[in-house]
Amino acid sequence: MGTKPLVWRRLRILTAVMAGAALALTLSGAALADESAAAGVYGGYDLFSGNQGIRTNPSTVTGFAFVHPVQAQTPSLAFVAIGTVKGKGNDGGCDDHYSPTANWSGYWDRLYQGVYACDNFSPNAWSTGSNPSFKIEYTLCAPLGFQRWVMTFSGSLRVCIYMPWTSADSITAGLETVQSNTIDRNIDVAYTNLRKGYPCCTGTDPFGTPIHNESPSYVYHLTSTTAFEVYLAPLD
Amino acid sequence: MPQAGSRRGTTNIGAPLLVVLAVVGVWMWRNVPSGSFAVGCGPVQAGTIQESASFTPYDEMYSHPVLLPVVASGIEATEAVARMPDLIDGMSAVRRAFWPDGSDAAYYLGKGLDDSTTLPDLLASGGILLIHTPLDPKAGDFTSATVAELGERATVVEVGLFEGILTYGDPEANGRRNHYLTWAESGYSVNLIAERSAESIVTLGRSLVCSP
Repeated sequence: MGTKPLVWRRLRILTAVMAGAALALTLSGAALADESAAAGVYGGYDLFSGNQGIRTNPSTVTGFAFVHPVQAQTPSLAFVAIGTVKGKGNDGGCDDHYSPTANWSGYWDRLYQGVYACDNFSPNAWSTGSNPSFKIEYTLCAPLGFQRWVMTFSGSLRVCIYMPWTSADSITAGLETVQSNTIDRNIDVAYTNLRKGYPCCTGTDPFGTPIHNESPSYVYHLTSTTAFEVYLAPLD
Repeated sequence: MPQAGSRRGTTNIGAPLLVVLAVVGVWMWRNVPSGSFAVGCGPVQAGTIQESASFTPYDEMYSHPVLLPVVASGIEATEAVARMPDLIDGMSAVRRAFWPDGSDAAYYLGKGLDDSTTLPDLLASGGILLIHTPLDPKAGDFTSATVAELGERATVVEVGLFEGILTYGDPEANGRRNHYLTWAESGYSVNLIAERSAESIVTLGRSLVCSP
């Protein structure tokens, strides 16, 4: 019954207040490169989990990438993220995925102390209709024997990342196109079973009603407190 | 015989004394604020720090930071935390915040803080962010874990008697690049972020841990 639970309860209340305040203040260009849509909740979380429903598989065109990121971010704007991608690689360490028969490949990336890094896993593993699970959690990284930000995708541990922060200031999920605005518009992702966890407590809560921000041509649709969909119309 | 006994007595006391002195020395090296020492406390001369030339352009990154106004980040603190100075580089703390994991932050700026100002805006205006975050003992050694995470982008520098890790951040959405300086001190990671030269931010960091 120390102060920590009180602080966490206070945070839960303030999270709602902050969310409203932030929205009123106009979310400043939530993230993202050329075009994007993202929705997130703000507070102190050490777990973010759910499913990433891949609804489309646009043809790969050289010069840009489609990305489905989910991420957890700290007050200094450091983040860890995981998701699926197809198209152009990047200077941070991710490879191109231009195969004519390409499906979506896995990737993780992070920004720590201002330094970006990226890597791929499971190339061409997910096609239209796939619904891989994801989890970002500050917990024991078994292979290292230390606490880390542990990222799991489709049931497999993908990477453990060190940052001193043990909870995230925000957790978000979205859709974006990187390095070009001239793109196939047929891109769609549905997030479901979204849950968030707190360092104080066991169990998880529904993701809630997120703050969202999207480029003009993107559409955001809130389905429930645990699900939303973002897409770039028109769809097939 | 008394002399021999006395010599033996001196020898018997001397060995434990050396051990005690060594232990005290190690403890001081690890825990005593470095103000009383000259090591790593002076200003750093321009052009003396060599950093990695590598970086990732902003539009190459798959994921990007979500930018909230500074005033909406964390829970506003109504009282100053003792370890956060009122002034850095002549600028006042325009916002103080804390987080339930025990982190404290102070945002310094030479003018008032607008409600819409984001962290990149603040840094581009010459502002500074100082964050203290409690270190998780289950996460291992902060310095070695951070250096391992950052690889060749990390430059190890002296911040007083602490081992600091300096990085030149990748470009932000506004095209600006900031320096990040971090070190472990008294169970916290200290993180200083500003758009300053490498030498300037290390000098700033030293000013926080070294006595005048």
